[in-house]
Order: sequence, then structure tokens, then C-alpha cells
Amino acid sequence: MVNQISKMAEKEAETEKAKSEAPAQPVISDQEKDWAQAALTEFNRNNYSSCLQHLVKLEAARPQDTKVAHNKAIVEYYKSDLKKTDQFRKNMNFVCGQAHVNIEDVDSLEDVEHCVIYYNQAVLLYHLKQYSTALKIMHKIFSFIEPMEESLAHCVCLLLLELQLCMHQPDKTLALVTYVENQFVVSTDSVISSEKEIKSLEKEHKEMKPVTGDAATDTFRLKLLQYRARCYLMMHALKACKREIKNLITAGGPTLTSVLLKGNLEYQRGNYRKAMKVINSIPQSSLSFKDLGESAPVFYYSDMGCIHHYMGKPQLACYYLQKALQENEMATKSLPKAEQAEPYSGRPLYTLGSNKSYELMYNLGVTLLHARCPIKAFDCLTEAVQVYHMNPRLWLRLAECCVMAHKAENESDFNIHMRRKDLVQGVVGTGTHRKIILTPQLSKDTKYSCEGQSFAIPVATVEFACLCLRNALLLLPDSQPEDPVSLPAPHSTDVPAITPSPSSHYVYAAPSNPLGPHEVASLRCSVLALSAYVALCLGDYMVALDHAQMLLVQPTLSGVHRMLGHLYAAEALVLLDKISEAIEHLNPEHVKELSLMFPSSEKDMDRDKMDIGTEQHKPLRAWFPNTLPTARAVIQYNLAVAFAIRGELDKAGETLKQVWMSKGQGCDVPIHVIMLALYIELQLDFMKTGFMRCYGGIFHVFCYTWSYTG
Amino acid sequence: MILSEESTESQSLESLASQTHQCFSKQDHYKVGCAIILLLQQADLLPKPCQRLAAITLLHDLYRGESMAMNPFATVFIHLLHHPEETSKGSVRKLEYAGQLPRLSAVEKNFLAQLITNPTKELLKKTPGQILSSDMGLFHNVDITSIQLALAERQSELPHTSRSGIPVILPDNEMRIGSVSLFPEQSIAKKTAEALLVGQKPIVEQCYKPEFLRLVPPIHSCEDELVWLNATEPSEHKAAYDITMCVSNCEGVEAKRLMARAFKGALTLQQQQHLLAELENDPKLVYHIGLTPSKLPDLVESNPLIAIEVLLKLMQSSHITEYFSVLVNMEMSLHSMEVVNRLTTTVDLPTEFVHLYISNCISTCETIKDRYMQNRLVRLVCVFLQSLIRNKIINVQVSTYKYTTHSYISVSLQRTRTYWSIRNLTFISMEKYYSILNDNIYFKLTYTLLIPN
Repeated sequence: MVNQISKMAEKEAETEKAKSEAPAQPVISDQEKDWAQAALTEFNRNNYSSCLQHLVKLEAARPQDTKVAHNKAIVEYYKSDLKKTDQFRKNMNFVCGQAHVNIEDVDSLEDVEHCVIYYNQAVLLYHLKQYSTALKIMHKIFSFIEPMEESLAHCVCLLLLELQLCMHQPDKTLALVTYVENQFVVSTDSVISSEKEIKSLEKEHKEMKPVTGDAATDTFRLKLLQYRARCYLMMHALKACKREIKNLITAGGPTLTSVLLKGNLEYQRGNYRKAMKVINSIPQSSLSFKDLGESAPVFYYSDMGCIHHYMGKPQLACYYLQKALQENEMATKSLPKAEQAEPYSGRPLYTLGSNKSYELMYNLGVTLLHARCPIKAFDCLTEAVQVYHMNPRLWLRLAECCVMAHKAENESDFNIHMRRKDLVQGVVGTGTHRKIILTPQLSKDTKYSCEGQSFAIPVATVEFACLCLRNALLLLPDSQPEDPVSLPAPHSTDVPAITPSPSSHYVYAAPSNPLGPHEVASLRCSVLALSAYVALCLGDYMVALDHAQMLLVQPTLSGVHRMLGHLYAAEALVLLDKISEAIEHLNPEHVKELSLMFPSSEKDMDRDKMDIGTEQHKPLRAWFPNTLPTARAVIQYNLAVAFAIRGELDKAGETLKQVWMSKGQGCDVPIHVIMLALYIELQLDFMKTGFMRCYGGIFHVFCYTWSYTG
Repeated sequence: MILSEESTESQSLESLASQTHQCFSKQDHYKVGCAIILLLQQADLLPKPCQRLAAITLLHDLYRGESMAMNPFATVFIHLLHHPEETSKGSVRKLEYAGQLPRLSAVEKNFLAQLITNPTKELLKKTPGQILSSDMGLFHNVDITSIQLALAERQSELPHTSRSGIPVILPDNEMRIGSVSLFPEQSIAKKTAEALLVGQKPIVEQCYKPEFLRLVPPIHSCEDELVWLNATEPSEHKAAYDITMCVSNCEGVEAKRLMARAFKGALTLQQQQHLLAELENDPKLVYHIGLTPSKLPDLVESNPLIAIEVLLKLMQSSHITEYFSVLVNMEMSLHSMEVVNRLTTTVDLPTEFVHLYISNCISTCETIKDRYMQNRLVRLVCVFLQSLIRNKIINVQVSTYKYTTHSYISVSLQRTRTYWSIRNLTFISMEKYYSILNDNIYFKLTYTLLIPN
């Protein structure tokens, strides 16, 4: 141990020594300078072979120069069309050794000269989708942004922005874009000394026109515009985004990127038809998937799928998304297969991360769920959750699949004509011994299972739903911020994004955009409601009661969730033998409206009502019961059940009669009513006389069923 | 079948009971009891009074030896004794087996009452037929209230839900009463009974309880959930070529070397000039010469002049605050003070920085042990303050006081006889108190103490 430490210390000392000695290289001769210049020129002309020739000469003359070795590795890599990634990594490791750089330990980066090495490492990690590691490196590199040579600085900024967006941190990214614009675009010489000045610069930014600058700065500026637009889209700041995209298209013309961004904007505004029109205008590009690392058809089909999904056409959406998956597979297959020994070689670097199948799987899963194919949806989403296990909404979706597979919907319970045959399970015996066997249970959603199997294996069961919901609850932030929610003001920062803003209102939900505060609140309601339902199905009444009560105290509770909270709480209380408490929950007056979403206040902030599509607020799936009388009938029926269980048959009968009477236009009653009526009668022993008189109607239906089954 | 017509007529109750015990193990007794009750409930399946009596006896016999209140079928006996229609109607009753149990004759009732309260051997020796034909209508009104009470108590412990079930079997013979022969057929009865009692989930074990209608919650509805794929242009992030290769690093090398030396000791005047000239030539060079905030104190101590120049060049860097905070927190010395003083005169320093630095100086003066050094430092601080006030870097109008720190300072000021400088101080402002604000510590130079007597 001690030995090791001393060795390490020695090594460190050596490195230290080496570092101080490193600059002491032979002075660069004019000849060498010429070679270097020539190499650079050839490199910029993409003549990698001749560039390499110069570098070989240089290397012979300056064997100790790490920069030469570094550039040689780079040029060789470019010469292979960025395909020999594994070889490149080896070479880079060698360069690192020569430069006494520990590539694994980004904190050891102290010299701006070494930034380029770390940058290249981060580029590799980015393409391998190791975003958080790459981001860590880039943050460190960014602290050297001022002394950095300008073209590298541009690359560093762009990669850092991209990585932050990959990690879904739009607020940080936006701050960084502003900083970068001030540093590199507006004027490199302007001194930042006070906040005021920044603000005025910000204002100028809006009217900023591409006045000066060479081609490189122009593209850089365009890229920054793109990033700004993507940030705004991620934050749903649509007004700001509109301006940005307009600038982008004026300056850069319609490209694949800008057209998709514009489509995204229209889509987020709810103008689905317009969005469709926009994406249909994707310009034909001569560049193929192999050149770009991304495939336009995949984008097109996937985005069409999104649009149709929100137009309430899940089947069409599924069709487009499956098409997108096919295109994605085709694109991936068009690349040469990787070999075992060199998994990253054979394909250009930028195609390594080009597989979009997980995003597409997620999209398809959600769409299939809305198309009422819970099992297929479950399979897709279990694929996606392997990658996006930090997304609370994805866990909720999985649970919804399980529950839908378990009980598809409520409406059939109200179809007395269809379900009356379920009242009787069979007939036994003949003649005087003939017996009618009633059903012991009309609802099929209660399941007390005691099978010993582990529910951690993803199967679409209620038990697994329970696990999913627990995950979802854990991933949601504990409490909602008390202060009025506001979007981080997009233009109010002068701090480079090295220090993260301490409290972000956004909840991570990759692959979707981060969840805003309103969505978080509504998501919490949905998770709680489903949790209570699942707990009841599993016979876990205490837990069900907890969830239901928690649901009822949520500040942004929709009408439907309020009603469900009362229903679930009442059922749990009855099963916990607290019937009087339960009856309090079963007041039909608790239901005042049946909205599925809590009215959002957030929307007024950023969306001008003028051009918001009309489809905006309609939920994608209607829910049954959809009329107020039906909903109240359900509550009253459950009230009758509570009375009956307490033995107050008269009260139960009276309540049930009211339910039966309310049946008619706009009000459906569940099949359960008939069964309960029968129950009350059997209990009251009025079989021969009273039953017929009081519940003639119901009895008629019952008799009908009887003969129908018999 | 023990309860068949023939056997119940011929055999004694005792032998029937022992047969039952032979056929079924203790664990199955509850199931057997349930089956007997089912048969009792369905009058057509157990038509003869003998069979009925035998059934009741067996039901009782299953839990022989345990107290009546613990017998799971105690309620049945109570109901058989007090048929609901005879008791008050409409009251809340124990409903578990009510309604469908057969009405017993007086003889049967008496037998049952005796069975419950006071079973005797002789009673069981008889065949059911004998009991029915015997005249036992004499001992009426057996007191069973104690058993009833015990039962009620036990039942109230159960939750309402488990008391609310009813059997799912409904007799269907009434409608056909005219068409079918009135003679019950033994074989059909047997088949029916089997159908009811046997099976994966025998009907006898099923019951209907009032059930809640549990609505499935709606699918969570939200906007912008699906991933809209945007082009990210991954091909634009490529490995970078180091264009600084062999370009202009030769001067930088020399500067770096000098800088490394400057951290360790004072440079000669010539070296200093060389370094400063190089820094002057290339404005970006300052970032490349290996100066990090942690190395700044060394530089300040060894080469304050260079430190000043370098800091001035770093003023535009976003890292300048880091350098400042190092400077503020480093040990106070003539050199550091010199550097700060020069900085205050050349650029706009953040006021908090200046205040923090002063307060650090003062606390250093207070804590230092060496008397000689203390005097020296205090004098230095005074000169420094004087310069700051003269240049209007700090605002002496601000008057905030904190008592603890000032006296010591004042005393040490006296001791070091630095009156002249303090005098000058007092002339600058006409205020009686000179106080200087900083973020954390306020200190006050008291006028009276400053003027020596």
C-alpha cells in the first residue's frame, strides 16, 4: 500500500517534471513552420493524404511534439472517413501518454493546450451517446474558453450546447447560448463589465441582422439560432421560438433542420394541419444517411405519427410510427456490420449514435396505448424503459397498459343488454331440483393473488402496474413549489452556464421534453388515481385509502379525478369497515364537472389565443362515464352498496330505486344495480310479493335474463 | 351418502355421527358443515324430516366438544330455532344463512334445543325416526339467550363486508310446479347436490356480496408527450485538428519558462521586462503561461509587479473573480497590499472585494502575535486606507458600527504612533466617526481615540 502510494507520488512528480520540461522543445524552424502551414492547408481542403505526408516529415523532425502526433492521429482518422474509430482511440491514448494527460481524469486538465485532446474525447463520447460523461468533460473545457483558439472555441461551444440539450437542460442551454452570442458573435472586443450592458446587448440581439462576418461566423450564428429555437421548443416558450425560427429561415433558407423545427413549432401550437404541411415541404437533399448520420424519412414518419396522434387518430399514428421504425431499421442495416474486435469501426463515427429505435418505441407504445392495444403497447414501452427509466410518465404509461389489459374500460358495465347474461352463471339440476346459480361477482377487476412469482418481471399484470406506479411516484418531485411558477426569463443571464441554476422547475422526462410544473401536477394526480385503483384491485385497502386521500388534496385536481378520489376512498373505507366515513365520500354533490384536465394557467402566458389550434384541449381518449347524471348514478349506486353492507336494506333499497329511476336520456346505470336489487330482495325475503311490486322493472329484466340463459 | 333416506330412518344418530367422523378428517369439517347447510337450505334435496334431523345432528356433531359460541354454525341453530318469520319482521338481522332454512316442526325444534344445551347420550342413541315419532313436545322453551349473546358478540367483531354475503343458489321449482311430477326423484336430487358441491370452485363456497362499481381511471392526458424528432446534425461534431501546431509557440515557451520561475522567486529586472513585453505583444498569451488562481499568491509574493500586470490583463476573463477571491484570502503582506492598491487605482474593483480585503487586513492585525510585525502591519493598513480614502475608493460617509473590533485597532494605532497618517485621515472628512463598511465586519475608527492627547 505504502509502496503503491510512494510509487504514485513518484509518478506524479515525474509527470510534474515532464510538464515543466515539455515546453523546452527545440525551437520551431522555418522549415517546420512551412510544413505545418502546408499540412493545415491540405487538411482544410480535405486532402488528407498529402496532409499526412507533411505531418510525417514534421514528426520525423519533431518526434517529441505531441501536437504533431495528435494531428497525425486526427488526419489518419479523417483519411479513413472517420471509420477507424477504434484505431483512432488507440492512437489518441498514445498521444495522451506522450503529453502526460490522463484522459480519464478530467479534473487534471490544467493547460489550455490540452483542451483539444479532451474535446476530441468528448466528441467520441457524444457519438457513443455517453452524454453525461461527455458533458462533464465539456464543462471543464469550457472553463478555458477564453484563452482557447477561436475555431476550437466555436466547436467547444456547439458541442457543449448539443450535449446540454441531449441531457434535456433547456434553461442552462439558453443561458449558455446568450453567453456565447455575446462572446463570439456580437463583438469579440466588447468588454463585459456590467449586467446592464448585457441586457442592452440582448435587446440588440433581437434586431440583429447578419451584417458582417465571414462564412464561418455566419454558420456559427445560424447554429446558435437553431439551439435557441430548440431550447424554446423544449421549454414550450412558443412566442419566443416563433421569432427565432423566422430568423433562422430568413438567414439560412429552408433546410431539413429548420423545416423540422418549424413543423415542431406548429405542432406544439396545436396547428396540426399546418405542421403537416410544413413537414411535407422537407427539401430534397442530395446527402444520404451515410453522410449525415440521420435519416430524413425516419424524421418525417415519426413526426407525422406525432401529429396524427394528437389529432386523435391513433391508428394512423401507429401506421406512421411503424413506418418510421422500418426506415430506421433500414438505415441501420445499410451500414456495414461492426466486427467483434472493433465494435466502433467500419462505419463513420457520426452514424454510431444514429439509431432512433428507443425514441420510436416510446412513441409507438404511447400511441398503441391510445389505440387500445395495451399488450403491444406494453412490449414497446418495456423496450423504451430500459433506456429511459428516469421518466415518471413512462412508468405511468406502463402501468396504464397493465390496467387496460386487466379492465379495458367502464362502458360495458353500463350496457345492461349485453351484460345481463352475466347475472347468472348457470343452471343446475332439472325438475323440482332445478337451481339457478347467480354470479358471485360482476366486476372482474378484483384480483387477490398469492402466486409466488416475482412481479419484477415485466408482464402486463396489475401487480406489475403497482411497481411501475411506485417508481413513477418516486421520480416525481416531492412537493410543488409554492411560489407562482414562472419560466426562467430567457434573456436575463450573463453567467456562463458553468454554474447550474439551483432550482429548475422542470422535471426530467427523456425522451420527451422536460415536464413543466403544470404537467408535473397533473401527472401526479393521474399517478395517484391509478395507484389507488390498482391497490383496490389488489385488495390493499390501506394503501388505496392513502393514495385516494392524497389525490383529493392535490391543488390542481380535475373533475374526474376528484370523483374518482371520492369513489376509491369510499370503497377502501368500506372494506376497512369504516362505513360511516365512506358514506361521507359518496355524496353525489361531490361531482360538479367531468373535465379530464385541470384548467392550465400557464398557457395564457405564452400562447396567443389567436392562433392556437382548436384541437388543443380535447383529451385524446374520451372517458366513460361522460355525463354528469351517469357519474352521479355511479356514486349513488355505491352509496346503496355501502348501506346494504351495513345491513340498512331499506335505505339501500331507497337509494337504489333513485338510481333506477334516473335511468334514461343521458344517464346510464350499471348492471350492478340489478344484482344489488336482487340481493336486497333476497335478504328481505320478499321474493314472492314485494319484490315484484317495488322493482317490477328490474325484476322483469332479471326474469328475461333468466329465461334467456335457461 | 350418510344422509340418504334409508340410512337416516334405520340407524341411530350416534352411528351416523361416527360414520361421518370416519369419512372426513378434522380439516374438512368446515366444508362438510357448509355442504350440510346447503342441503338444508335446499328443501328439495333433503325432503324427509329424518334426513333433516340427521343433518342437524351431524352439523352439531362436527364441532362436538367445543363451546357452542365457537361453533361456526351456531347461527344456523339459532335461526332454526327462531325462524325469522316468527320473530319480529324488518329488524336488522344476522343474515348469513337466513331466509332459506327450512321451517322445523315443534318436535325437531325441541330436539335441537336439547342438543345445543344439554346433549345426552341417550338422545343420540335413537334413530331420527324414533325421535320424530316420540313425544318430546314437553320440555319447551330452552334458554338459549346466553348462546345468542356470545354469538352476537363474536359476529360484531367481523367487518360488515364479511357478514354481507348471500349464497348464489336460487331454487327454480316454483314456476314449473304444475308440470313436473311432485315426487322428488332421488337420483336427480343426488346429481343436483353433486353439481352444487363438487368442482374446481364449488358453488357451495361462492357467495355474492354487494359490490362496488370501481371505475377505471382515464388515461393520463397531456400535451407534447411524444418525441418530435428534430435533426441534430451529428455529423457536424467531428474530431478537431489542432491548428496551433508549430505556429507561434516559441515566444510562449520562453514566457512560460519565465513564469514558472516567477512563481518560485524574484525575477531579475531584465527577465521581468522580457516577460512583460511578451505579454504586451500577444494579448491572449496571458492565458497560456500557466497561471492558475492557486498559483497567484506565489506570484504576488515573489513578483508583485508582474502579478499586477497579469491581473490587469486578466480583467476581462470570466475567471477574474476567482483570482480576486484568492487574492483576498491570501495572507496579508506588503506585496499583496501593494498589488491591491495598484489595482484599485487602475481599474474599477468590485466594492465588496475592497471591503473584504480591508476586513481581512484588520483581522490579520488583530490576531498577529509578534508585536513588531503588528506595528508594521497596522501602519501599512493605515497608509493603505488613507490612499483608498484619498482616491475615493471607499466611502467614509457610510456609518455603521461594530464595537468589538474598533478599540483594539485604535489602541494599536496609538501605540504605533502613526498619528500623522490618522491625522490626515481626519482631515479628509469632517465627520466625527469614520466608519468603513464591509459585508461582514464593521469597524470604526473613533475620532477621539485617533487624536492623541
